[in-house]
Amino acid sequence: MSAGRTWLVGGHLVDFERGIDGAGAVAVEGGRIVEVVLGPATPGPDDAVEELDGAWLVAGMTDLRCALREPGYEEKETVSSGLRAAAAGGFTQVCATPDTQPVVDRAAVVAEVLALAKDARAARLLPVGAATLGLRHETLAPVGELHASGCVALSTGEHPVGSAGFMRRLLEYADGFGLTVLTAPAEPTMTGICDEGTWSTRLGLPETPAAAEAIAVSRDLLLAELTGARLHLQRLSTAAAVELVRQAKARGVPVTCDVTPHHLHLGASALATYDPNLKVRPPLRSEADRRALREALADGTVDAVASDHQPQHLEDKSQEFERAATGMSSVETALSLVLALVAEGELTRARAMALLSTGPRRVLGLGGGGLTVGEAADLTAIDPGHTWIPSAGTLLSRGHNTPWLGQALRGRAILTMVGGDVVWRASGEEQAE
Amino acid sequence: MTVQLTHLLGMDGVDRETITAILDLADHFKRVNQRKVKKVPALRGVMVLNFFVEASTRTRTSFEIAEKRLSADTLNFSASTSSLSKGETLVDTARTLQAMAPDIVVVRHQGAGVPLLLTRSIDAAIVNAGDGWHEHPTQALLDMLTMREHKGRLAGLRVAIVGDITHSRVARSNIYALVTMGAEVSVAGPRTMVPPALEELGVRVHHRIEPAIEGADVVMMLRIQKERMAGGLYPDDREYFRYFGLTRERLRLAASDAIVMHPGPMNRGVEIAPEVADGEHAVILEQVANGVAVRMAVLYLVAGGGREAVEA
Repeated sequence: MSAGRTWLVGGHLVDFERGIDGAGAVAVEGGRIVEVVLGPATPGPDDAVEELDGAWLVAGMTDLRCALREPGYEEKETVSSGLRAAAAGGFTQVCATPDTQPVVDRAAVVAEVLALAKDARAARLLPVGAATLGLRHETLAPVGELHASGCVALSTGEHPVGSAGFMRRLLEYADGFGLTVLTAPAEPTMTGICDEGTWSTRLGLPETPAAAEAIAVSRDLLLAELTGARLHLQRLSTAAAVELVRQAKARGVPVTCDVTPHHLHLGASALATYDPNLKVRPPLRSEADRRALREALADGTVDAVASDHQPQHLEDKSQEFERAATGMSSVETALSLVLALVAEGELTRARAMALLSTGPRRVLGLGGGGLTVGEAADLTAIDPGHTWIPSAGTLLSRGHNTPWLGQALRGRAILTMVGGDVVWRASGEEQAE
Repeated sequence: MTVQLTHLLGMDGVDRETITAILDLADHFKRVNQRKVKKVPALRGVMVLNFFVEASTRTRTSFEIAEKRLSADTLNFSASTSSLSKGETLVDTARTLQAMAPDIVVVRHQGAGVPLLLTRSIDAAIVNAGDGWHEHPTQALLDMLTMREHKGRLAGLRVAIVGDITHSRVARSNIYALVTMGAEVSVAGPRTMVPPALEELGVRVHHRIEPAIEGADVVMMLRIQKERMAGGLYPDDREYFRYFGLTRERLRLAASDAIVMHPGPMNRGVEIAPEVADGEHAVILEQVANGVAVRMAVLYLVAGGGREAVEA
């Protein structure tokens, strides 16, 4: 920890909630923000200075869905490698999914994961408890115990709760402890690995219709309305699902939702290569769905972009599409892909940054954050023109299962600071070309 | 005419000239197969590896005969004798196959897209002998060879494909190829077994057998698998036969000289009445014989022998 003040100068400050979107500087001391200046700053003679060269400065980038795999699947990722990858992706904190081995369904596992994170000197780990014991969706996990041990939310894991009655009780019980339930909706009797339509027909892959998501979203929205409990729907992939959320929000249902960067950029047609890295849950959807997700991002229906980082070992992806493991290593590419939407003119800069920072923090009901004096110095400097190529050499995640491997991406975090410590700095040499 | 065939992964995207060239060459090999000595030295010194992960007797046997008649060196690498059952990854298996330095790999696999994936790790010509529900191109080619022999053409031919389309690689390959060749393809099956976007492929879709086979020059029946009952896709064999089985009475709706085809193995009394399967319209055994000729043509072309043979 630095002794005196550190000034981040020459940046472009972005804080959607406070209406900040302009040139400025931030001073940091003792792990906190001590001064925010719009316009030119005058650091003292003893202050350390980081020149941002026009990079955007945003506070508290938060990933709502990030699998760190430890304990249990260290060949795919560890808490340390995952949090360093997150920092390189610009995130200052990530919600760690509970689908580890053992599952994060008791205080002892939460404590283990938090202890592993403490040594990482990277992004912060926000533990998410399993909503049900072993994620088997038969009995409730000890929600009070998970809350007391530091969990910021509960999750139903990779597979949603099938029983409406049980989901209702789960929402109510969790709400009693002030915890949001995160769930990735999918009707469990209509599963498949390819969007039903042109591409499942052409490619001969088991299909799942868009309706399988909408059915589950409808049920969960009705349960949120019935119980008044806070519900967050994850990785929505269809036009029907975001439209249902739009309507529910309009009538005051306490619901929020997120989408992944890959569903915003890729459609089912990409599966013509049968590339196992494109096997994700829910599957990549139609062009119409992709357009609808982008519109829902821009109009505020979607509250956050979450990476749904799912690092897999090379072996798990070295199989044919149908047998390959599901998921994409995405925490390092998420920011670049959101910035691509800004470059394409689909999102404003302020809205894009909100989807990665203030949006996800609101979902979790976390107070604070933002470019405000007194807040933790969790800051990300983003150079929208920095070009880089995800590769085995540049990725910090153990999972290299991304379809963007070897492809130049534009826009990257050049500096990530957590509690006043620099935990990631993009080196000039790694920039492509 | 010269054609180049690097791999045969499917009929999707294969143009009319290439299909015609394969069928013409198959005609040529068929004449060879009628000679007393059926073996030709065309693929002497060429190593063909038959990589069959999914159980198959007829297709594998057909390929093996084709390879032997072309004097290729053949090697069988099947699921039971390989380490695939021990959980080896597809990529590792592909590397093992590559280490054997084959010139051609014939692959049958339950996973859709596997032949395409193999082209990335194996430096050999890949021939798809059936991948999951996706494609079975040599079956479509032997079907078209049979149709052309009986009808003299493919363009304008009225072809009905009846049965479980969703789970049928035979149907997909035939649809792609027949549409390319200008045939009029009608499809019939219970709605539960016809994929939603099928019409985009250029076929007419029916959910009763009668309108599909009315006036048809070719009626192709697909095998129905009993496990589809458990998935709620059809009630039982009796009802299936009643609404989708090809009976003598229904066949009268087709052209008077219609041919009846089936890729085998048949479920007699489920998708096809025994008297139709054995009747004068059936060409099912000719399909089997044509399979060898078509596979000889494909192997010959992917081995790089396109030019001279087609000109011959």
